[in-house]
Amino acid sequence: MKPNRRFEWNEGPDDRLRALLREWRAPEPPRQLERALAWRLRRRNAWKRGAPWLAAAACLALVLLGRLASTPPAAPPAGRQARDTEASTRASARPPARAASERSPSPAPPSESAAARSPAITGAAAGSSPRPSARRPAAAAGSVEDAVLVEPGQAALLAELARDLRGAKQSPPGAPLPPIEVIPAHAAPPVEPSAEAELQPYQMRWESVGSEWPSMRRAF
Amino acid sequence: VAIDPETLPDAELLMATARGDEAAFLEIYERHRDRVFRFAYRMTGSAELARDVTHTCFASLLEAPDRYDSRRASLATYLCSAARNQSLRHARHSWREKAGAAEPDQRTSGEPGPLEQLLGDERSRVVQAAVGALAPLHREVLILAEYEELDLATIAQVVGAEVGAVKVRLHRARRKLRTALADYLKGEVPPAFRTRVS
Repeated sequence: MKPNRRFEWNEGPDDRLRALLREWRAPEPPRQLERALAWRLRRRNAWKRGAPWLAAAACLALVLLGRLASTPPAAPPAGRQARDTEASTRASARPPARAASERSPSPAPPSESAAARSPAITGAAAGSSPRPSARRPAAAAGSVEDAVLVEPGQAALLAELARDLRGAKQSPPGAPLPPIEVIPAHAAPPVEPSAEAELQPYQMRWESVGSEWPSMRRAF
Repeated sequence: VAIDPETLPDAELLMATARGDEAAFLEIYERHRDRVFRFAYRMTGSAELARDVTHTCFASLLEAPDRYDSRRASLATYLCSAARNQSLRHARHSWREKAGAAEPDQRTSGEPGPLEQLLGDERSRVVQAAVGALAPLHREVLILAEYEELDLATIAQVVGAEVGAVKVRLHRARRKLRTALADYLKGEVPPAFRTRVS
């Protein structure tokens, strides 16, 4: 049989089979199928008409979201970060005032240096001496970032140490060490009668500026 | 100037469908729905499945008209091929269950008497069962050749096989049907059918 040949009717044995096969008839396609396909076409057309507007709206939304994301976030108003910020702000704001009050330190007399080395005088300075700031010379020139906050007693000790170092001369290499004074354990601490009098100006000065010192909320 | 869709070839109707022309699509549907539905019905043995297959074929044509290449085959061949693929997917599972419970046929004209109708329904069920018992590859070439009256080259395009393979499958399908319907083939061809076909 040729490829383009169709079947023709004659009275052969295949024709009997063909006649019997055609007893099986197929029904007509339902009409709702046509309606369903037409509805699908209309929906597709409506979607195609609305697609450019939808794409434009999506692009606009993306641009707006991008701009919102690029703006810096607002600072947190409260909480622990706020407390930390307050402490650091206070630390950076205080040194200029202290520097103004201590810009002209009077040279310490030799007797004052000697009294500061005694345990009694050091203990009194920790409790009632005015609060000198311990900072480097560059910080005294006005650098706010170099300021260091310490306890009042530590500040007094650091100030005395600085005065001692300024006035001391370094021993040459090989020099013998100074003798160490050995004090018995049960011996009474030596009390110098001039200590109270030497502390008086410090106490008066402290009373004038003591109220300016902020409360220490947490340890450094 | 309004163009009558009935005068346009399938390719132009399909282009108009891609642009959203509903009348063009309905014309395509009117031209090819019967063949697609009949083929799907005979492949699956169920009018319900045939409706689903037909809907799927035309919906895919609606959604992606670019898939059809007019240089390779006609639109009828393309739709038959799509229906064949869909039907094979359904027929593997549902043919045997549906074959015994076929829907009553819708006779169009020349309604016979009650006895003749009873005998005709019986022959219809027997033929349906015999065709349904064929292997899917044999069944599809038999349906395309005997019912849709396609030539061998077109059948080969639809089923994606060589013409020689189609010949072999068709020969084997007929031989099996002759064996299965031997009792009914002893009688003569009904004269009413002979006039209807001619």
